[in-house]
Amino acid sequence: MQTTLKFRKIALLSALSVLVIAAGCGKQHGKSGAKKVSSVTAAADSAAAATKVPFALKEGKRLYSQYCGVCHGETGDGSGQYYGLTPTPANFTDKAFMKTLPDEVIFKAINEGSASVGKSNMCPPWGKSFHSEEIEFIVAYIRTLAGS
Amino acid sequence: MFFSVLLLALSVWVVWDDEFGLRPWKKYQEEYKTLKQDKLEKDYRRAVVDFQRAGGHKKLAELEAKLGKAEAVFQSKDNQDKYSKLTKQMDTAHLELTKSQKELRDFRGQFLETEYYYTKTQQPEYKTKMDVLQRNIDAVGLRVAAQQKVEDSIKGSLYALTAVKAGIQAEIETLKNGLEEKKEKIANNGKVPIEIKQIHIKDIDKADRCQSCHIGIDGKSQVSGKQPFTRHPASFVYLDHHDPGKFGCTFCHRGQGRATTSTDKAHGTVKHWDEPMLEGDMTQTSCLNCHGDIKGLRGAEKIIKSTELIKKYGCYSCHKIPGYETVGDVGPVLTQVGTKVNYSWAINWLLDPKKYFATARMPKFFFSQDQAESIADYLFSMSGTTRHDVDNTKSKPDAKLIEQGKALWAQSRCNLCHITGGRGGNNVKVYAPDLSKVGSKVNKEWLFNWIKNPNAYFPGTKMPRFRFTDEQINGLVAFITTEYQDEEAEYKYVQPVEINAASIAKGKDLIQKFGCYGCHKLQGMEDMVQVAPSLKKQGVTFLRNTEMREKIGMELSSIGSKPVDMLDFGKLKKSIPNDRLSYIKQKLRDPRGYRLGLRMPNFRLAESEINELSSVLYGFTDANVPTRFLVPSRQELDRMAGVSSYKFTGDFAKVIADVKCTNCHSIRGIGADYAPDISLAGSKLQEGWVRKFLENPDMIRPLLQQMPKLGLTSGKPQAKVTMPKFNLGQQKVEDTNRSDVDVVINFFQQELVTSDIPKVIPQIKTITLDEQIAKGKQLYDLKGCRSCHQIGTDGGALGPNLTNVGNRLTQGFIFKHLENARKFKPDIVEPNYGFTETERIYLTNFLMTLKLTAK
Repeated sequence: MQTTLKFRKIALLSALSVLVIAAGCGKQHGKSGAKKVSSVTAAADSAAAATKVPFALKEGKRLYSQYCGVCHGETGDGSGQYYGLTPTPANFTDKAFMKTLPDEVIFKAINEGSASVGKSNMCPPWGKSFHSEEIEFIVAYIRTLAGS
Repeated sequence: MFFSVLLLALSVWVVWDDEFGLRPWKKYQEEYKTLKQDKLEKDYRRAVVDFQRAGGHKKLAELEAKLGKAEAVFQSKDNQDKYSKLTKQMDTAHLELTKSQKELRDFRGQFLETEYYYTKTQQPEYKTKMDVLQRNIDAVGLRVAAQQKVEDSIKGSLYALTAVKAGIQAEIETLKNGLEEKKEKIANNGKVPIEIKQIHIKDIDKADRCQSCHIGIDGKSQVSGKQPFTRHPASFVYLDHHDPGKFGCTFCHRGQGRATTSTDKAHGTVKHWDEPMLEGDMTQTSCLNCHGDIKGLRGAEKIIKSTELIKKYGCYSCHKIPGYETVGDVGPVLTQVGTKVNYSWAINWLLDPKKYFATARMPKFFFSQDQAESIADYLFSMSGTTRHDVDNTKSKPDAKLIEQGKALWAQSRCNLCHITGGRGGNNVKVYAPDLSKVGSKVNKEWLFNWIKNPNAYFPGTKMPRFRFTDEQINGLVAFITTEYQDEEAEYKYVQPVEINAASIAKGKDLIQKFGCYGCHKLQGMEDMVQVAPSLKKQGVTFLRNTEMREKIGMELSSIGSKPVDMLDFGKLKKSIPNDRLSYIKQKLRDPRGYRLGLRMPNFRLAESEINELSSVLYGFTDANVPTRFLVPSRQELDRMAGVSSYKFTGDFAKVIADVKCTNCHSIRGIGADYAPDISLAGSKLQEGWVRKFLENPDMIRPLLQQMPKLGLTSGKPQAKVTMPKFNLGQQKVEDTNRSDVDVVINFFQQELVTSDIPKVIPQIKTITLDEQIAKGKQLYDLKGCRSCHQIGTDGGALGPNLTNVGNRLTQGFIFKHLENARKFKPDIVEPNYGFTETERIYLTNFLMTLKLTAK
């Protein structure tokens, strides 16, 4: 009885160890795959890695440039290409000002228009034109404009 | 002893590795469960607080008692009788209404059909039929309205009976605020088993286990923004239209969907796996698998932009690429180039196009001086026998003539497409040549003929014919050839030199070897009639049309799925990663780098362009795409249905071949997006305004013209640009008796109309028109329209100036535009305000009063 159990254990374990070694080898193969890099492509790849921006911010930037930047300025400083507005558009690069603005308020101002948060009616409501997630992208991007 | 310990250690390791080491997804699922638990509990606690604040169990008991009483009242015999009687009435009324509605739909359908035939054929019998149908529609419409009223009144009575009960029920729901469901969710979360999650899609043979780690990818709400727990970004675009249960993950993202033992393996970034997971912007390359036409496709913005590069550099000229068979040549016709340019210029251009101007699209072929001369000799001998240059600075034109030319240059907006001195060229996609040094390149005679009729030299060119008088053209030629000179230009052949026959033969071989005819039409000459007898005597021959049809490059239709083993890394086998993407990028960076003898020229692309272009090439695959995934383009649909695609016909085709409206505007899917899409111009614009505008274009959207610049440069906007003055309305269209403006207007009214835009808007009878206009004005002020639109000089300059909108747009268009501006232009800046119909009527009536009176 005892011998059979021992025998079975040994058989099982040796089979397993073969499997494990095989699996380990597989892993090593994987690692050695794509490590040889020329100087040219290395430079290009590191550049690509440096510009790896989350989807939300990329999409937020695209939407901001197309719809918001006209008044609020490409950099968010409120100047815009489209000057001469009274009152002047909000300045998203002003750190002190941005601290007073919770995300929910920015969301609401975009969603329902600036009048909904007690400002002028100059910024229209975008809620029926964008998906709420798109407005979240824009809010996320606006947050980056004041720097960290 | 030693072996027993080893065995024991090994066995512990074996069990551990099998249970955890090779199952990383277990850890992730556990962690996700905890994160989700936290979130659900938080939600629940907040709901409990809200519940207590709103009155708690005491309030609930009160409401339930109230509900019991209301139920008893509703159950009384009297009320029950009433209720069943009303339900029966409702059933009959609804049946009748549905019948009438169907009848109305049928009549409307017939009407549209008849209207279609009428516009096609202009037969009066259709008109009569339309009138009869319209009468039917009106009659049935009245009936529907009456029946609707009856149904509404029954509905009202029914509602009155149940209102009290429903009110209390709603109150209870609000009070509880989904408390029980929330509790249940927490309990359920604990029960979720830890297991491999697999999607199996038979027809594409995919078994994707990605969700074993990316557990929250299709969740309704975000549990954590961390990988691998995050939700799919913008799932309202991607997942909502591509149900993961039907598409899986790796069909779009690639990677090794079956692998579960490590992240690297699952993402396919391991040796011998040819399809690593696509990252970042590269992912959009997969849109090309199924979508025949990605123009305007939401969520494919990056790949749409990148695809433009294929057109910009004309990859399809040398490589076969499906879908680009009908795109025109990237280079100009060269058959008569000897009558156009200076020989010395041609040599420098052939040696290095980018040296002449930085935006040159022609690649560098690395020709030697000798080779460049041979090619130029061949080209020049097609229209003459000599190498020759003309120095335009030698003949000084009249200063007044130059001044006139300068004014005309500005008025004709030449800089809209052409760059001079680093400025202009806003309409990028036309790829018009930089003219900063053109005065040292072309001769005056050719320039005169070119401006007079560009199609004569280069059929199908994008350059419009401006309908200038000869005197005007003389002015322009004088201005261009004096203003835009190249100070470094050489003129070695002011004294013409005879071309040598041996050099021509060498040029012929080179042209054939490098396939110049891929981009440039080099009309084959079957005989030698156009060539001087002296050359013919020396045995000079030209390429025949049949010798110039073959695409000289490799077919690219499946480059994105070509097995890596079949890619020839040649000399670079050891110095760059042996994967497909690296291969493509390196090929674009240095086309002749892999081995000696390669012919592809160097386009000297920026690294960003290489990334974009390779993402498009990566999308050209022979992937197994089931028909249920395919979204054919309009052309493909037309081809399948056996219909010919939309083409301009008749007199309008003649106008458009001349004026090239589609360089800027899009009409029925043909053309560019630089200027507004005018596919519905007939329904949108008023005839009188169109006539005036075509004869003398004016600015409508002062800032929007700059929109393509946004996000690309940080500089101030360039000079404001309006539509060029094409001098329309002064000449008759070829072979007809009609002016070009009449032809355009007729085309607008016949072809560019839609029944979506009504001719008249609904009337409001309860208040006078003046009162409606006043209310419209109030709305205009209240909604802040003036932040983008100007009336007179008040307001912003982003949207169209509305001072004369009552003369410009039809009331039907304004009315529909206010309902949802994006219906006519999906990426329009104007948001949807959600106006009610009444509000839209007020606003439309107000806007229609805005008219500039004739001076």
